[in-house]
Order: sequence, then structure tokens, then C-alpha cells
Amino acid sequence: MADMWHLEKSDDGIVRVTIDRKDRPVNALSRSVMEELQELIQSIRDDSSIRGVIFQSGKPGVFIAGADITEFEDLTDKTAAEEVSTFGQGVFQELENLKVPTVALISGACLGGGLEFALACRYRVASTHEKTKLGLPEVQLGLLPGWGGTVRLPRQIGLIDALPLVLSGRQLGGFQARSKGVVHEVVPPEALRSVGEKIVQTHHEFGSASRLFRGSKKPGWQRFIEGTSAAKKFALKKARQTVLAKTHGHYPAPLAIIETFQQGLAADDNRRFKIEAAGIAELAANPVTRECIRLFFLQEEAKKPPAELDAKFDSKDLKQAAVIGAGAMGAGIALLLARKGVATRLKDIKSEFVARGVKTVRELLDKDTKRKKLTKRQAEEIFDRLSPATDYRGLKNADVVIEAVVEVTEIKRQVFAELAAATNAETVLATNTSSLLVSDVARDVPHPERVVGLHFFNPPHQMPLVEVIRTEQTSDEALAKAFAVVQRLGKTPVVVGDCAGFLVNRLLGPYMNEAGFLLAEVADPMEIDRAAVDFGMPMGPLALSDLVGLDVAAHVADNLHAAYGERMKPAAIWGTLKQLREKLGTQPKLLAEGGLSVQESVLRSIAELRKSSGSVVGTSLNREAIAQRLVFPVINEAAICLAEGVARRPEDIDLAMVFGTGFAPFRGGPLKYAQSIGIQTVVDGLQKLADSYPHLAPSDALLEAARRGTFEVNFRQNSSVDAGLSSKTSRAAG
Amino acid sequence: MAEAVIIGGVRTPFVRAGAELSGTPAPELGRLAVQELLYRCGVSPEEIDELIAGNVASPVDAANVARVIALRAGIPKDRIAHTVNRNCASGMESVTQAAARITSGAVRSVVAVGVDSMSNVPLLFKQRFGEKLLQLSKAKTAGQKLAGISRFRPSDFAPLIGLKLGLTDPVSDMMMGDTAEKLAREYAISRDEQDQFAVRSHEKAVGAWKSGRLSDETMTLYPQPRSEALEQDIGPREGQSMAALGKMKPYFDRKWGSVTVGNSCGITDGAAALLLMEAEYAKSLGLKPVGRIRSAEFAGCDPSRMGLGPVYSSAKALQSAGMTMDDVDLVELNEAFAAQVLACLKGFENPPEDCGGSDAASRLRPIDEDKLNVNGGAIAIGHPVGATGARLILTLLGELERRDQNVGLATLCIGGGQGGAVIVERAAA
Repeated sequence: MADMWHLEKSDDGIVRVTIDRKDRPVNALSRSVMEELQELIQSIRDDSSIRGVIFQSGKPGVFIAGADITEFEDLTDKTAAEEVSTFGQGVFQELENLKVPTVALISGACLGGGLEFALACRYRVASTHEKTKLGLPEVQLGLLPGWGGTVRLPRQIGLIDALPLVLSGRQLGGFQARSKGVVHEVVPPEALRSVGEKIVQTHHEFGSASRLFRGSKKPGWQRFIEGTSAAKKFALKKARQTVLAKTHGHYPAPLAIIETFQQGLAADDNRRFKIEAAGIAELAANPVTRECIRLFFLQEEAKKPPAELDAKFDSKDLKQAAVIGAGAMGAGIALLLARKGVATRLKDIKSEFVARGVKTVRELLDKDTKRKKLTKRQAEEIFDRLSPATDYRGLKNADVVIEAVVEVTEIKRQVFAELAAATNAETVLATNTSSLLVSDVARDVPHPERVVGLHFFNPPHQMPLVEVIRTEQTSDEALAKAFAVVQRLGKTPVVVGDCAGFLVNRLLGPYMNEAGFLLAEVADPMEIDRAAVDFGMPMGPLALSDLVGLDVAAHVADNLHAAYGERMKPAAIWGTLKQLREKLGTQPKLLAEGGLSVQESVLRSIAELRKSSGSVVGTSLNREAIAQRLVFPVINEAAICLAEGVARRPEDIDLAMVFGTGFAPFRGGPLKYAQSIGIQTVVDGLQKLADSYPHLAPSDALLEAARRGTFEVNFRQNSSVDAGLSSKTSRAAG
Repeated sequence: MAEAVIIGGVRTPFVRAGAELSGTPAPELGRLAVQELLYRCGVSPEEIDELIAGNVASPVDAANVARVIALRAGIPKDRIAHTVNRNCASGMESVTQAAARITSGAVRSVVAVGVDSMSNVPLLFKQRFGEKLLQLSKAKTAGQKLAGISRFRPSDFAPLIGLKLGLTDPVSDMMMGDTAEKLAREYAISRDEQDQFAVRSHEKAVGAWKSGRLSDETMTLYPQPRSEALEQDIGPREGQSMAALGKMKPYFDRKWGSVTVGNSCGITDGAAALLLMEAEYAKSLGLKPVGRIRSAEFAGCDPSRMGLGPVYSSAKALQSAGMTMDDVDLVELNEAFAAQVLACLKGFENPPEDCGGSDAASRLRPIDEDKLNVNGGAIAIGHPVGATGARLILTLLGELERRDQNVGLATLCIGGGQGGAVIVERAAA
């Protein structure tokens, strides 16, 4: 028995249940916990002296975090999945059927199955605690709420409000939850218990406690209109269009959610539960769901420091930091640190540059205040933690300094020499370079063991991935501290080796470059982007190079060519486009306004190139062939990275590519994709291409992986990684 | 007895009220100065035991502005903070109290701040307006409400200007400028002499900024909402001329007076902060002191001649230090009004009869022009009332260091009839 529900009955007839799972740090609903709850409900039903039940968590910061998803990991069988759903629905139905009033006092995370539990209680009160979050995030794991969530949430707040919450998995704070009607009241955490008792008493006195709460803020006419089936149907139709436009149909879960609501429209509750269970059975068997769940675990796993490190640094102990360079990147990183409570010095060489950085920060904060993500007070607190400077004073107590100045080796070296003098011996010096080698930047630093790379992606406040670059000299202490910085920022760290492009840009290089070759070949260049999007990329390579800027892309490409030689030789079109840029003196984009066609000037350059090189004009390739041409070289390069030890394990590569570039998450990342179609298929494809394009020949590392049928044997620390991945302790959601 | 030393200091640029810093209220100005101070000294907020802030304009939304500054600057919650008000000497008061707290052994490290945002002095409503408003809010029926509204008179809506009230001495019922006019009359100081003095103040301040003598003590601000860098005091005016000053009308005594806006200090926003520590504690943290306080005294005088306060307090401070003016290398004498400074100079030469007894008075000497306010004074730089006392000590220490001299006197007059004087000594000299 999991031992989670702790009962205390007092003379007033009120049963107080403390939710506190003894075997885990968070409250998660496993099978045995659900069985325990079932028994509890039974005993309450049998005891006529009980007048009410109050549920409250014994763990600070968590009410119930959700179902224990370690149990769904192997749940691929439809019948088994349906049974899990039906069983949970049944337990919660029994809870709802209790004659005595039940009150959920919610402080902390109340997500997924946790919210479904709370929805089965008669009354819900949320606390004002900052960690109080209510939501149904199942969709993010490729699932739908399977324990009555799709039935009770719309019943409680109406389909029109419930649909976006379930589709987005959005989490609501206490006040938001009350204004949506998900909870009846919101009170300070220390008032929960007495409010709970008052609700039970009032319920007995007046037959309902509703007089204690204020009614819906929505006007009656609006509630009436939203209750009509025409309005509901319209909302579902709109939602389907939005989902299809956004996901290109790659993700079944949102569509299944819409379908569940749709079918439920004309059904009674009994039938609705069955529809829900059928929906989850369908999804559980879907490979996309497996990939979503896998990525979730990978991400959680990645947030733990590498086991092989001899040093430890608790991210809570990070007190002071500094960022050198107040450009968009530097200011963005400084703001991230300040948001997480780290006192941060933001330094640039001139006060006008610092002013620009301060302005960037202010604008980002103002935006979040306007969107109600921050209160004015919170924004001021964050702003207070940032101290602008134009000199190196004030770095003596810094735990970490992150350099984000221009990408020029000489300048960076000088900054590092100055930093070495301005900081204390334990300060970790991190460079946010994307195109230089960390060891090159650190060359002249007296103690190179405290230098690491922290490669943030642009824009730093949105991108979830940070590459933590370890050089040959980086000490365990420095790496542990740098890792803790990323943890503190709530980002996903991936530890990689110090090579040109590090991991993500190195793997993206061949992908972008092949797009360049294809530009000169295919009849309709827009097919390149369409093929990539069809494959599952968030945008095509042409749109992506416009986003990062053609000159930046060209710079990266030259770098990679210099480091890796022939296989990264830039396609001729990039040179032609460079001439075009110089001729026009502007920075033309590949795609015309709206992104639906290629610029005229670019098309002319392509035509010129074809003429001069006599290359095949206007080949028609189907989208699948184009996608293979783009993605197979990525897999090839990934295999080399594994062999070189640039990445520690194949999972890191998948995670880095999904979180760093948006690489088709439902395919699980490039290596998982290669596994699923067979590594040999990739080898065969590349060998065929190599006839015309020698630079695409499969590498020894890839051939080796194909021979073994797996990338896994490349593991350098095989056993520790295995142990890490199988000890999925205490993770709960959905 | 424990010894208190000064570790370092910094101030914001001083800016005429209603200009670049009008969106930066006192708690924010103070927070900025304190944070910068700690960073520059290499001391983390955890090392601070106490914060004392001198402030006059008392922001309505921060009753104890010192506490707000301390918390916002990241000083831990379990430390203490209080605000002091000795009118124009509040910033000096914060420093002398900080030193006293340390020498008493109560604490080991104190941040002393002087801060005022005179842009943010509120406008007030008259008492009777408030009473009528209260009446109206109690009205229940429509008739009562109408009656309530009809009781208001147009004059009720005219606000009282808090700043003007604050700069008026309620005992003598004179505005500060009126007390300067009185000294000008009594000491026969002409309009020209006053304007000459003002021109010199501007010349010295402009020269100091040009040669970078004030840049090291001044931090750069990025005031909101525009975030543009503000690196210097706005007041000092290059090429300030007798002709330009001569055109100005006397402000306080329009008909017969000689005190103008041009030969008085401006209404200003700004903050200055100093870090004081117990000497052994500083050493244990590896910090090198810049100086220490040799003596500090306040003295009372006639409120209608408050401008002479520096004469009284300096005599007293010299006496406690066992020094005479001959021992003093440099003087910062706050320039509230040119007339008032010139009167003080005469007072240093010929002390008034009631000046602290014959021993104290005998320690005064005429002050050499080249020792006095060598980097300009409040007429050019400005006078954020609560901040100036700390600013004088900061500027004085910096200049002593630059000249490799040892003893300095910082002194100012205090509205209400007092003077304050601090004698500082460079450390390890």
C-alpha cells in the first residue's frame, strides 16, 4: 500500500484527510494510491457519524501533482489503458457520490489527475500560495484527461472555457482558477483549514455552502449563449482548424480531445465517461504519445547533474552573478537570472550600450506585466536585482560571470583576462559564444579550469535549451556550478564537448547546407520548406535562415567548413547570395513578405548559378526525398558526435535537437527517428546520394551504428546512464 | 571603544527637481546608491548590519524610507533600518549616527544614506477640504449628497505646495531665502558679491567635471522610463556669467532683496551613500578604509539666522577634535545661498559673540578661498536636502585623497537654526 491518505476524525464529525505520500517526495496517483482512496471512500460511506470530509496536502508546494506517469510508460496496450481510465473514473465517481460534503483545500500543484480528483469533490478552495497551479496538462504528454476531466471540467465551467484549458494544458494560479470558476474560493494558505470547516458547517446549515461564494462574473446572457449547442459546435470547429494549422496533423492528442468533447455533446455523463476512456485507449497506443512521454522523462532526467561529476553545487546557493555585454542576448540572460532571484551585475563598455540593455530588460518586464504574468511589484523586485555598470567593479563576490560580447576571439580573450583579475578564484567564467571554441577564448586565462561555455539560444527567455560546454580543462567544480545556473533558470541543460558549433549548431549545419544545395536543384524552392514542415519541423530551413539572418548563417557555415572540412563545404548558392547582398548593400531575405514565395532577386541568383555551373535545372524531388536529404546528414553528423564523445549519449542529442531547434518532437529527435526507420535505411539513403554528392557519404561512425543496429553502444558511461534512466523516481504529471 | 572607519562611498548625479529623475522616487534613488556602493566596495549585502537614511521629504508611500531602501537593495530581512531627519543635515546625521552605532559596539557595519527626491514632494489639500470630503462620504440620501457637494468652495481645490511649506521655518515664519536676505543685510553683502560667488561655484564644478574629479564619486543612472544614461550632475553651467545672473529678479524680497534663484542652491533630486565599518571587522574582510570621522558636532543658533550654523558647529567640532582651523586642509561648506556662505566666511573671521564659548570660538580662522568648496558647491551642483550632508563628506574624502592631504571639514547650515560639522581624517595617513 502506498500510504498516501491519512485520516483524522474529530468530535465535530469532520474527517480531515492529509494527502502525503510517504514513499515519494510528491503526491502522485498510482494504482495502489487509487485503491487506497477507494477503501477510504468506502469507510466514509459506512460511517454515518461523519458529517464532512476535508482533503488537504501534507506536502508544501504540492496538492496532487497528477497521475504517477511512471506507470504509463509501458502502457501501450489499448485494453490495459482503457482499464486504467475506467478504474480511475470509477473511484472518482464514488467520491462524487458521497452524501456528505467533500472539500478539496488546494495549495500547491494540482495538476492532471490531481485536478480531476479535486473536480470530483463538492467544494474546491485554492490558496494564494505562489506554487498553487491548477490545470490539465495531459495534452503535453500526448494524452487526454482520462479520469473524468473531460466530463467534469466542462460541467463545472462550461465547454467554451474548458476546451482551451484542456487543449493547451495551461496552468492557472489560484485567482485565475477562481475567475474561471474552477474553484469556488481563493484564500491565504494558512486560512484553508478554517475555511474548509466553515464550508462543511454552512453546507449542513443551509443545504449548500454556495452562499459563501460570489457568483460567476460572466453576465447571464453570455452564459446562456455559451450554453447553446450552436456555440459549442462553433467553438469545436474553430479549435479543430487552429490545431490543424498549428500541428499539421502530426499530433493526435488535441484532435482526440476535440473529438471527445464533440461526441460528448449529445451524450449523458455515463456515456461521456466511456467516450473519454476510449479516447485515452486510442492515444496510449499511438507512437506519438510514446515519444512525448519519452521526451518528458528525458527532460526531467537532463535536469539532474551528471552523476560522474565529483563536485556538487546546489542551485539555491547561487547568489550573485554578472553578465558582460548588454546586447539583446546579454540583457536577456541577465533578466533570466534576476527573475530567479540572483543579484546580477550587467556590464558593458559604454553607458549607451548599458542603457540599451536596461531598456531591453524594462520592455520585457513591461510586456510580462501587461500580460499579467507578473505583478507590478514582482517586476520592480526583478528590476531591483539588476545593477548596470560600465566597469569591472562589483564582481568580487560573483558566483558566475557570463560573457556575451561580440563574437571576436581577440575581444573575448581580453574580456576573459580582465575577468580573471576582477573576480575571485571560485567564480566560474562562462562564455556564451556560439561560433568560437571555448578553449580558444579561455586560452590566456590563468586558471582555465574555471572556464565553461553556456550557450543560450536566441531569444534566451523563450528557448528552453542551454548547451553546457566542457573543455578539456574545465573542472568538475566549474561544470557543476554552470550546470546549477541552468537548473536555477529552469532551462534544460545538455553537457556537450568543445567543438565547432558545439552540438546543436553542428548538427543543424548539414541540414541548412543541404537546403542550399537543394535551392539550386529543385524546380519549386518552396517545396524545401514544405517538405521540412511536413516532416515535423516548426519551420523550413529557408524561413529559418531568414530568421537567424543570412550573414550569421553564412558565418556559421564557414566556421563549420573550416573545422570539419569537405562534408560541411558550403553550397555554392551561399556564395552567390553573399555577392547579391554586397551588390544590394542590404540584407535581403530569402523569402518574400509573408513567407509564401522566394524573393525575385534570389530566384535570379539561382538562375545565374544554374547557368554558370551547368547543374541540373529544376529537378522534381518529392517531399519525402527532400526531407531525407535534409535530415539524413544530420543523423550522420550525430553519429560522429557520439563517437567523438561530443555528446554523452544518444538521448542528449535527441533532447538537444528537439528543445534547441524544434526537431520534430513526435519523431523523438534525429536518432530516435533513425532507430525507428532503421539505421541501415539511413546508410542506404546516404550511400545512394553519395554517388552524386560525395560529401554525403555515410561516416564510419554511422556504418558502425548500422552494423550494431543501435547508437547505444557508443555510450561512454553506459552503466551510469542506464541507471539514471531507469530510476524515474517520483515524477508525476498527466 | 570600537573604532569606526569609512570604507567607501558613492552618489547619484544630482538633478534639478522635475527633470530626468522625476520618475525616480526616493526609495529607488536610495536603493540604486546603496547597491552600487556595496558592489564597488566588494561587500555583499549579507555583511551589512544596519542602514540609516537621512531624508526630509518623507515619501508618503514609505514612512520609514530607510527600511524600504535596505530591503530593495538586498540587505537581509533580519537587519535593521531607520530614517533620520535633521532637516538639511539629515545626510550628515545618518553618517554620524552610523559612526556612533559602530563605536558603541552595537553593530559592525552600517550603510549611511542621504536621499531626497524633491520632485516627489506631494501637493496637499487643505484641512477643510478633507473635512468636507469626509462629510460627503457619510451622506446617504441624494439631498444630503447634494448639500455635501454644495459646501465646497473653489479655493478648497487649490492645493498647498508641500515643498514651499517644507522650506519655511514655522517658528520664525520665514522662508529659507528670507533668512539669507537677513544675513545679506546684516553683513552688508552686495548682490554683486553673491553673483560673483555663484559664478565661481559654477566654474569650479564645471572644471571638476571636465577633469573627472567628480566622476569617480558619481555613479551612472539609467532613470526610468527612458533608460537613458545619466552620468553627470545637470546643474553646473559652463559659461555662467555675471550678466546672466544679473538679469534675475530677487525671488524672496522682490523689491529690495538681493537673493535670486541664480545665487541660491536649486531644488534637487539625488542620493549619496557611505559604508562605515568597525575597523577590525573591515580588516577581517580584507577591506581598506578611506577615512574616519575625527569629530562631529551639531550646534543651535537663531532660526532667523540659520545660515550661520556652520560657524557655530565648526567651532564646536574643532574643539572636540582638539584642533584649530589651521589643522584643516580642506573645507566643504554647503552653499545653500551665496549670501549665507559669504556671511559664514565673515563669521569664521569674526565669530559672533554667542559662538560656543571663547575656547571654541578661538579655534576659528578665516578660510582660504583655495581650500573652500574646491569642486564647486550646491549653487552649481544642487542640494537634495537630505542627501547633501553625506555628499559633502564623500566629496571631501575624495579630494583629500587626490591632494594627498589629511584633514577636512564638512559643514552645513540647517533650516530651523542649527549647524552641523564633521571633521574627517584620511585613513592610514
